[in-house]
Amino acid sequence: MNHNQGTAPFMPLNLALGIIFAGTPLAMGLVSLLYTPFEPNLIIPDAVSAPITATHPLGGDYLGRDTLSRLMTGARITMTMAIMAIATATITAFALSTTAVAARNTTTPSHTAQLTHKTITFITNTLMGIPSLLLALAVVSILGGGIANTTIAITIMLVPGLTRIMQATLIQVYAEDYIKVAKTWGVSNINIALKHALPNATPNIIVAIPIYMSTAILVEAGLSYLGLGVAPPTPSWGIMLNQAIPYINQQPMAAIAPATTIITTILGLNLISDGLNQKLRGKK
Amino acid sequence: MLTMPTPTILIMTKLVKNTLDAILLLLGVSVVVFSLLYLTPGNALLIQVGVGSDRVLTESYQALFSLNTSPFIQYFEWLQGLLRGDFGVSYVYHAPVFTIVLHALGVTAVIASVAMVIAVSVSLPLGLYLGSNGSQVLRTPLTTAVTLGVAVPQFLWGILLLYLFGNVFSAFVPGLYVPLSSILPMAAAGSGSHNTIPALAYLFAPALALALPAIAILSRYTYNSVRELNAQPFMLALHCRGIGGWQLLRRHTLRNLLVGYTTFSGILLIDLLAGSVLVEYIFNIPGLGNTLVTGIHQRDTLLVQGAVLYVAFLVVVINKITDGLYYILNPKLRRS
Repeated sequence: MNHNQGTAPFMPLNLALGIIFAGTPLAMGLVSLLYTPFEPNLIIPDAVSAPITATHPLGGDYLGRDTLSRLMTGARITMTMAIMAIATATITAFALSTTAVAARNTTTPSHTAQLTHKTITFITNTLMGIPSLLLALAVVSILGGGIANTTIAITIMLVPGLTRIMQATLIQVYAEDYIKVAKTWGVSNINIALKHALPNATPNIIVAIPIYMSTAILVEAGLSYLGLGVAPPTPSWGIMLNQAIPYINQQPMAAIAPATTIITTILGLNLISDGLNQKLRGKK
Repeated sequence: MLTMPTPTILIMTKLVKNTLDAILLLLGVSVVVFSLLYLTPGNALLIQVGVGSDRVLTESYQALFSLNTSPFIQYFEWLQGLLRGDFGVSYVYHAPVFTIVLHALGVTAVIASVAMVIAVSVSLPLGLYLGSNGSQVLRTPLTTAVTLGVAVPQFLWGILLLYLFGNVFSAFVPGLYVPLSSILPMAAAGSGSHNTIPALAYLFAPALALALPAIAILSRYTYNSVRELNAQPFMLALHCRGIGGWQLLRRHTLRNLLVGYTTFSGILLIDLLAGSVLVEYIFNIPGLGNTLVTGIHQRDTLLVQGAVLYVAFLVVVINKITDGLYYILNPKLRRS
């Protein structure tokens, strides 16, 4: 908690800035559902390597597609993929880590419980042995590219790390006195896990989520940049970069726009994580 | 009466336990890698034989690469091969995977280690400076730069540096790969002249792309830890005893800082190895990352398996070394 000031601000500055930075691309993506200046894949002969004009605020790319429209649609695609991946991964990791830690701390220890705990820990550790980008690459190499497959690959990549963080937090929580008291009072294992341990572990988990979401965005961009993720002409940010780099001398804006958006989003998510850390855990 | 185990025995048990853990982990990884790629639809064999070609030819090819047995037998044969250092023969290159991967790893290792040296030698002083007490003019701009730096991923730095060195400064030809064995003579031959910088740019541009995010992350970690450390009561006590300057830094700040810093740089080194996939692709360097991506594009299953397993092996080794260093650097752990 905040010891220095009498009244803590409702929202730390970095949290507010982060919401603005990461919220802008999200808003862009939402707007693209209703309106984009042009069709994102429409080839406009006048816009081939077009400079910044009133009709094309961010110019056109090498094929003559409007960069702003593609950036907005790309925001929707990249953000949807990242949010889907992080949501699925968080739920999976929640289930895995809660089961693992609850099995270890059960009031009625059994071999099955021990085995469950050990199996989950071993699988997590094994998958952590492969760096996340390589794990995603390996999964994409089996499933093939495309939006759905890339999202699955990113989800699989996120699960081990998230599970480990949640498990570490839950182990700390299970060592607290109130859990021991609950056990003495005869509260059931499931109720201890869901009503006592999870709510107390939530702040730590929430702080980690923006960081993992930024990893998801980066890996999507990276995979698509390598030509292994989302397939062109779908305008994800990685695809936009991939297609703009060879023509960077003629039309730098087509590369600068997605690059800047990626950086802003990551910066925003990092700031949100810092801000939440201050607000939820009172860390400076 | 129970005799206390001597420290040597404790360390030995720990070492044996750690090695066994590592072996078990690697076995797990090998199962994952094998099954992941066993599931791959289509492979280089089909492409080579030609879809719809003679059944006898296909079968003889399958027998050649022993693909006609059950997956379990294939896994154990593959595992047996691994133990002999035989990772199989690449379908596409028709060369042993072990040699291909080892060669590519050498290229990656040079870049990753240059990047790591740059990252540590910049981030440590920078972090200590930003974490120290007292008012500095540079603090706000540098802290902002670090926060921004954390948000810029390796591959965007790569693109930026490729553009800057290649197109703006014209220091090198973008997409041309010059091996280290040629870079050093080139740099030496042109020492002091115009050619030194271009030659070195081939090595430093990709290394810098990997190092810059690492510098930002490590500096941020360092200054946060130093600030936390400075708020500790024992630091105040040391100040009261008149200990400061170099002595305080060497005996107290650094010793406390390095425990976490080492673990963190271990994690970052793994990150560098993985991040090199994208950076190598951008700079067209025939390292481990590029080998892997080409392998995936050409469905060269054995090559991909070998490369991923190699990286996993490195990750385990780096993690165990970091653990060991942690034990050496932190006397509190040794006592218990």
